[in-house]
Amino acid sequence: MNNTTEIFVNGLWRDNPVFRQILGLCITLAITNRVVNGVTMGVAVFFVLVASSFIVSVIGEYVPRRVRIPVYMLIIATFVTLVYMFLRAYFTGLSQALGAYVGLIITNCIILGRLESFSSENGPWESVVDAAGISAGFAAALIAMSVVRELLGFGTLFGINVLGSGWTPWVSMILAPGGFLVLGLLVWIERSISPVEEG
Amino acid sequence: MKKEIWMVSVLLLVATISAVVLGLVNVTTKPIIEKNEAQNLRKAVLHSMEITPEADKIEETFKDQIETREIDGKTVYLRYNDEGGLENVAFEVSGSGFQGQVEALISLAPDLQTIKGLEILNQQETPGLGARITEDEFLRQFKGKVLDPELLIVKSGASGNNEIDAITGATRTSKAVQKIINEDVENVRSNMLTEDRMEELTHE
Repeated sequence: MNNTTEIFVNGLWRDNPVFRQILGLCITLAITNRVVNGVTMGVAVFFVLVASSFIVSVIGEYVPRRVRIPVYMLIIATFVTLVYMFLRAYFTGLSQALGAYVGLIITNCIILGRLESFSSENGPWESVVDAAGISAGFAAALIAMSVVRELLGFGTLFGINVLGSGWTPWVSMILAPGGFLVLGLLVWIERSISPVEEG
Repeated sequence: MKKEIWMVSVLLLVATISAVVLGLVNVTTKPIIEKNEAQNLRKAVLHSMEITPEADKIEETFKDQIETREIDGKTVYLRYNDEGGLENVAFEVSGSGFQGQVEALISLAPDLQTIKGLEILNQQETPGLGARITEDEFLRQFKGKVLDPELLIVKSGASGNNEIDAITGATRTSKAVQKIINEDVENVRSNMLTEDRMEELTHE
């Protein structure tokens, strides 16, 4: 496996932000009761993370260490706002669904964590690949959770009824307890497939 | 000292670049966003009155069917039938939700009590919970309900003709919608669309 593939796979699976690093849980628990929410959030984080990783990997060495966090926050907030303005102008429907997530992206610790631990110390190419891998891993985790929760909680997928009218929805799946339960189960499954090496 | 100056300059520079980029993009997207919002409002007004025009004919249909009036500072959308009788009255209602401002458009029969339709224009409620007030499943409940004496949101099993089922897990948002509708409609009824004024509007 060459370096590029390895960085990508690390983000997607071995260092999966949700199942391995247990980061970004606020978003993960809150929005994953509909598959469409999971997909939308995944795409939005992808844009913001890849763009800000690239910028930070380029300018990182010129930023004094003591002000690096405010600089990162400014960069992230700028991209989030850009994405939001762009969506509102050209994809009205999507922006209405996304409106409430925007603030959540800025404070998403996965993004700040990647900028701090990876992009500030690596070149632009590696940083973009890492950002793509991590956001793909994040999106995959969101989608996995929302498929389980929407299916059991509403009996639907993407809003389309799949379990038939005889299905009694598990209301708790839509609510916070269902989120914790499914997250716990998925972390268990992921770690059974490839166990964590105790350092 | 040199270090501090460098620190401040870097922060200042990044903030300036960010402000310039955002400013430029804002200038180019703002007119488009405003146009979209006006279009959304027209669509909501038409939809709340159960008119569903083709996507490219929204503006045309709106001009054709809806009369927009300013009454004591409140924008009211009126629809008359072919015989000139008043069919629908619609206006915006708004107030605090659970997390932020909720703006909706309500369409009423000329008695100002029977709801014909409800559309959510803007909201910042919790995705997956409160934000489900924008879903059809919740909104279509309002059609035909009567504000007599006022709207009541119940946990489940709405039976009366003024009762609406709350959204599971979002009781506070649902209650906020109840409060917004009851208070704003009452306000419009007693201050802008008074009985006398409705009399005038009906016989036009």
